[in-house]
Amino acid sequence: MSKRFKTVLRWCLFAGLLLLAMLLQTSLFALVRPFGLQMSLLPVMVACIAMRAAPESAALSSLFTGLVWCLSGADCGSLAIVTITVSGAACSMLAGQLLNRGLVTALLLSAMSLLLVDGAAALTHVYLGALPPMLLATALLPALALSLVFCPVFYFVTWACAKVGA
Amino acid sequence: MKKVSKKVRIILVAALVLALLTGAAGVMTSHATVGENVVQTLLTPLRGAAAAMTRQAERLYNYVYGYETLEAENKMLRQRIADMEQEASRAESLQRENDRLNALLDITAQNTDYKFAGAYITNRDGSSWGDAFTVGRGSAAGIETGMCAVTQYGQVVGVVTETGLNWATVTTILDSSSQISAMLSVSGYTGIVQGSYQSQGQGDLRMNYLPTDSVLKNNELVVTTGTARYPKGLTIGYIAGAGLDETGVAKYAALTPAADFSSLEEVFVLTDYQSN
Repeated sequence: MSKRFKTVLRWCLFAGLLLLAMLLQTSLFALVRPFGLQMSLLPVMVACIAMRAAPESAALSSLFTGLVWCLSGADCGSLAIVTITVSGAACSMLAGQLLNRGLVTALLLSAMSLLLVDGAAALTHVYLGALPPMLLATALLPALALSLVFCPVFYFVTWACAKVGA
Repeated sequence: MKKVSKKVRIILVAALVLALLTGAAGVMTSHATVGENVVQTLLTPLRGAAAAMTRQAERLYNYVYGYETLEAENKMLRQRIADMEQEASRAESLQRENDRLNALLDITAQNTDYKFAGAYITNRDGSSWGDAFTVGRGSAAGIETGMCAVTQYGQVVGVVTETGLNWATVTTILDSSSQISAMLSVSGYTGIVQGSYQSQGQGDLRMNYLPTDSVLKNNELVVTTGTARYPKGLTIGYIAGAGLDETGVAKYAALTPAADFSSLEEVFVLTDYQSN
């Protein structure tokens, strides 16, 4: 297999994973809410994929992810384009330059990504008066913490996909 | 830490521009944009599949974790259905009994001297050639041999041929051994009604020893002439045909029994009446 083909295959797999996370979040976890909390899988998947890619590739893939997420009718979609792109680029740069690409890093970067993407959306709602500030502590943070449960799974899946294109 | 590369900065600026554009498009128009249409159209089948899989997963979850609950619920519902079926069956039985007693009331209203003992059929004769059944009341209820068993409409079913304390055997008029003195209700000819059993639950009656010059009409009512045990005027059947008997010196009439033997459930034994 040529290197170019491997790269295309790897990114196809990553795109599939992003789509899967999106679908799971909007179908299964829109219905099944553990402890009444809405799981957020997309930022975790973006962080795990960004860890495996160069900053430019991670930023570009995150931009597309954000755009698709926005156009699919997501809440605060326009803001998500920016936050997801920034999150992807930041995760890639931090993982590549300051941290290693281990599981703990993945957990840290996923938490950061969740805070950035979902936190920004929640703050927008608070700013618009649609959400009481108290809910940031009582609902948002537990939901983000619970979403991190998926980080190890996504970490190993993206690791396997990255191996395909290595 | 390295500086943010130019490409990344361009991408971030592009993201900002796209965010502004999509935000502005959302504010300016209430319709879906082209981009939204494309993405939603492409995602719809995938979402449908995801939703279907979610439903399947939910069903599996419910199946695995809800199995015991469902089993218990199923058991309870089965028990409830059985109870309800039993109740419905009992209600139907009571309704039928009520109908029969209502019909019987008409007969007793017309014949105030008639005393009946109602008895359920508990057993039917299993032999091939006889036609008899056992009822669940006997001498304790005043039933004696030779008494006449009728339906709620006063149609003759048979004669009691054996009695015990709490049981009695009724040999029906369809049995070939049965002989009942009878008369035609209009023309007044008398004869003996005998059974000519054919098969279980089906049979014909034959009224023998009618005068050769008798004029018989189809559907003419045949009733009992009465004995010391049962009164006259009880309906036996209707004429369905006629002919000369084997000796050629008497006529016979083929009868259709008035009682419906196939659906008999309860009979009423005429235990007493005032013979004039």
